[in-house]
Parts: sequence; C-alpha cells; structure tokens
Amino acid sequence: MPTLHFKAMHCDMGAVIDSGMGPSTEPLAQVPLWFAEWEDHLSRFLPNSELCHLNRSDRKPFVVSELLWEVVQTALQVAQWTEGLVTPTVLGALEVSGYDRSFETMEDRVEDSLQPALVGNWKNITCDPATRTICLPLNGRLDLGGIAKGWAAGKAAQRLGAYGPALIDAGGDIAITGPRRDGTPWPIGIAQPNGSILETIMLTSGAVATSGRDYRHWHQGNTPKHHILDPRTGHPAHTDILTVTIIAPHAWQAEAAAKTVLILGSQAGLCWLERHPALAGLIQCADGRSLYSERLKPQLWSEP
Amino acid sequence: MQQQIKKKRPLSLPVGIKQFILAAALLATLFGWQTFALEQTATQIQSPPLPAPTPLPVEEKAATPAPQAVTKTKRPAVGTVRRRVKPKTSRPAPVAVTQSSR
Repeated sequence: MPTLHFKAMHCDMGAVIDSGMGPSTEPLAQVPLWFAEWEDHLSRFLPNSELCHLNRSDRKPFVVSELLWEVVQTALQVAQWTEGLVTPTVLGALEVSGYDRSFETMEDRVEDSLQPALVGNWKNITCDPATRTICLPLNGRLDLGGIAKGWAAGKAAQRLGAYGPALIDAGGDIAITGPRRDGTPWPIGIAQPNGSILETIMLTSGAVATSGRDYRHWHQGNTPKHHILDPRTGHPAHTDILTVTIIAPHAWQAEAAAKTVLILGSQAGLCWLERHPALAGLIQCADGRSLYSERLKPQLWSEP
Repeated sequence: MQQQIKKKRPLSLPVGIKQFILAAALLATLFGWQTFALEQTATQIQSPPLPAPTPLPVEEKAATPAPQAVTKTKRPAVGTVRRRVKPKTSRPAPVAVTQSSR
C-alpha cells in the first residue's frame, strides 16, 4: 500500500491509501501540504501563526479564520464534555512548567519559574459566530495541542478518503475512513512505553489516539514534569497512569478522552471510560499493570 | 524314568530269558520300532509329574510412591486418523502504531 512518512506539527506523520491500483503517490503528496497549512494557523510555536496572533489579542475580540474557528469550537466542546479536565486555556501554565518551546528543542533540565501556574476558565471565552470573533479571558491564552493534531488527522483522512480507503497517523493519533478496500480492518499496534507492541486493534471505523507522560517529560530544577496538565492545579497531572489509548469515533475525541483518563488516574479513569458507550480504551499504569475497558476486548486481534 | 525301569527290572534273570529279551528287542528294532516308541511315550505320560520348581528368592524392594502426575505422549488408537493440527495464525503486522506523541 502506498505510504508516506513526513514531519509536521513537531511529530512523525504517516499517510496510507489503499487505492488498489498499485502505487498511487499523487494524492499522498498533498497531505504534508495540508498539515503545513493547518500548522500555520494552529501552532503555538510559530510566532506568526494565527493562534499566536489570537493569543496576543489581549482580551479584545479577534476575528479568526474558518479553520481556527472550527478547531477552537472543537476544543471548547471537549472542555464541556470533560467538565474542564481538558481545556485549551492551559498555555500560561504550560509555559510556567517549562514547556515554552517545541519539545525537541527543550533541554532535559529547564529553569525554575517563580510565576504562578494559572489556568484561565474556558467558560469565560466568548465567541460570536456571526462575526467569527473570539475574545479570550484573563489567563486564557490557548494551546490547541493534541486537539489540533487529532482534528488534523481526521480532516486529512476525510480528504484522502476521496481516493480510496485511507489512514492518517498524526504522531500516534490515527484516523481512518473505514475498512480497507477488501473489507478487512486496519491493524493498529498499541505501543508500550519501551516501543514493543502490547496489543493490536482491528479498526474498521473511527480513530484511535494515545496520550502519555512516558515521552514528553523533563526536569524543572529538581522537579520532574510532563506535558499533561491538570487544570485543577495548573501542574502536571499527578497520576498512576503512564499512557492511555482510546478508540473513539473521532481522533480529537480519542485524544481528549485519553488525556481525561490520564488526569483522573486508573481507577476513576476506567469508570469514566465505561460510562461513555462510544469509547473503548487501554490504560498502561506506571506499575506495569494494563487495564482494558469492556468495549475494547472485541476490537483487539486475537488468535482465531 | 530310568529309575522306574530299574525298579521294574529284576536284579538277576536266567540266561534264556535274557536272550529272549534281547531277541525281542532286536525284533522290535527291526520290525516294530514305531510301536515300541509309542509304548515308550505312553510310559512317559504315565510317569508321575515332576515337582514344581522352587521359585528363586526375590529381593524385596521399597514400595515406589505413586506418581502425582504422569506425562506421556498420547498415541492415537490403531486405525484412527490423526487430526491435522491447525497452524497458528500470526499477529498481523500493524499498518500504524499508536503511542504518545512522538
């Protein structure tokens, strides 16, 4: 199957199309261009991105593009769904934690910060669909992070799907258009923190995403930090979970649910997961345990 | 058998009778060997049975404890068709791998 690997949004990306007509790289070649365009709008690391302009709007109404509007609305929908556990208003707190530049340019040890880690209230973001303006509150600068990545994975899969069954892997957030050309599911590996495959999901629709504190972590002074903040404290989530993998109808949903479960911890997280019929997931704990949600097992590969 | 023959034979016989027996034996050899042999066989059958052989002493062994479990290769009964073992299906190679953002 024609596959393209490239870098975008500071992650490894992959695009696969099951065209059934031999190598078909022409549609695949467009995918990096789509991601580059989206990154120009949604990145917090590009000073001239549209998001950075919005974050500098200093609590004044700011007219945004359709693209940024759509992703911000998705992020607010996530904040409501997760009761604020996954909110885009964590940028200030992330920077205070030391995550103030792209991860690959960060050193292992960053300086201590004396600033308080404040997280703005997402409910105070005002949006006017008629004028497509957004007004951010105090401490409400946005990081669209994983939501933007999940959204992009779904969008790219949808576009590529015009050429045949397609799969997009946006740094571990994976979206598909449906089963493969022959009707079979896409085998998707769930990696353990050491890189080996723990399970294989047989995915016929929707998306899968993994969130974890096993890779993006660093020290600030002598304090270990990671990139998943608990908005209730403004600090990296104190959790017994290392990674969470979620299957959901959309990649952004899977990404948001994975973060929520990680922040809640294994016990409350698994209960939360079971309360949502559209979700299935696998939790890998720091002590080596793996917890499977009830709805995950039928979707895993097993020996016939 | 030899002992029995000896018992039946008198200790001393007159010369005429000895000659007669020799002549009879000679005749039996020449003309009726088979009949003689049959008679001999009959004599053997009538002889008392030999005493049963005394069994050799057997060294007594300490009793072997009964095994907890026995492993053995199960062999199919003669005449049955051995079932074909289904080959194991290997895990499909993943098209993509999900992991925390890389």
